[in-house]
Amino acid sequence: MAESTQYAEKLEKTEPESQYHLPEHATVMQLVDALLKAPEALTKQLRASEFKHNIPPFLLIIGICYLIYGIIVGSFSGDIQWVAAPLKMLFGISLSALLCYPSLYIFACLSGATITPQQTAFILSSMLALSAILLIGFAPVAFIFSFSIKSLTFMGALHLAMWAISMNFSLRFIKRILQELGAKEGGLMTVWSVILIITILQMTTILRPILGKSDVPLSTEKLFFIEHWGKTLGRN
Amino acid sequence: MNINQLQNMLTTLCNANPQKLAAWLDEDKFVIQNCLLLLILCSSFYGASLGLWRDPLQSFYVAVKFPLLILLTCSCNAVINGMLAQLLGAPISFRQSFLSVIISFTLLAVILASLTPLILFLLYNLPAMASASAKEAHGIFLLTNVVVISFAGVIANLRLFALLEYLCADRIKAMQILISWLAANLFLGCQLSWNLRPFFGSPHLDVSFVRDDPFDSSFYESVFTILMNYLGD
Repeated sequence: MAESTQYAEKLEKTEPESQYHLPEHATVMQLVDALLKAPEALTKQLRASEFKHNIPPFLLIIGICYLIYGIIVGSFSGDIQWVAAPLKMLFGISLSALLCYPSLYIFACLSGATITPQQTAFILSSMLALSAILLIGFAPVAFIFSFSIKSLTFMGALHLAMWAISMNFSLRFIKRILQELGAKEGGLMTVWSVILIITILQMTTILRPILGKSDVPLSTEKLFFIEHWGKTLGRN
Repeated sequence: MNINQLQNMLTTLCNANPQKLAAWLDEDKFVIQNCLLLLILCSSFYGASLGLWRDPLQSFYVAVKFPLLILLTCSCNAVINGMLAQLLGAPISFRQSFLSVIISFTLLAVILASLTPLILFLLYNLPAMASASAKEAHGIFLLTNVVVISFAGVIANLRLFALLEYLCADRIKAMQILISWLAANLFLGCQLSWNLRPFFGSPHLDVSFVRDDPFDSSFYESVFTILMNYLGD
């Protein structure tokens, strides 16, 4: 009983989440910490316009994490995919983000958030950094399965499930940040989330093969991602 | 207009705070100029993506025609829209009603422009004009753009409704004005888009700025003829 009271007191003394302070020139680890534990620290930075120096570290996180996860994806097929898969993943996620960036800014403003294009870039990069961190969290699991699973379909479904979970948390994160910046209409952000997901899924189809083997580095056949999944399922 | 002014204007426009937009209606020609500039640039950017699937030249034509269609619709309906607003009890001048419609169309153009990179991405994924499945690709492109324009239109009109509600301080009056403006703009807009066609460009027709017979027949006659043909079958 006494121990539990002491623990409660200790918890009370601990810095509350809202008091989490993120320096203007934060380190990568401080940013990772803020992304996972205290997203409101990022909102505070946004409001105080102290965020610009933290965009490059977010880009670094995205780059490194997606490359590492890409190597694990590539390990399923080996050969050229050790190099091709990480590069394609990084290129794909970056291009998808760039395509969806203008609509994120406009939709966020339409939702009622008071936001600038620079702040939008910060939010988007922090969201992608969170998804990248979560993918790294899943990386050991994916790595084990890469060497155990023989079916391309099953491996694809596993990676898709991990990506879906990481995107779910990232999209919740972006909604939360925008709500703190004044966004009232969640519906528009849901529409944007759907657009982003479809864009990324289609990007994986354009850049195929990412997981499987192929004689050519990039397929020239134009397919919608659902069509591609159907064909892959049919073959396996 | 410098980059900061543009940024502030975009934020105010998209936030669509009725109080701030109502203040715009009282300002000098600066707001109209900037709204028009934004409207032309954004609708031109989106228009360029519409014609791109058919041909780069068609893309250029539509980049010119799409803003033209919006501006012609707004200008030709300016007087009747102003009259309708006053008849229905809105305490606004002709200039203010014109500016309200322009603001609403500017918002539409801004939303469309923000989605243009995604339309270009879709274009990249569609089978080429010369391919065997060109007809399906044309259909998908057409349908997607109908959805996108409808979505942007609904959002822009909801914001216009909020502004009218603030100006009239009466929900029913605001709804009546919005419906009357929508009816007038749709009625003329459909006909003008018929005269200025092609926008997407049919795979089996040559690229052109307007058809050889732009004033031959009307949108409504064509719809009527198609309906009669269906009923006749």
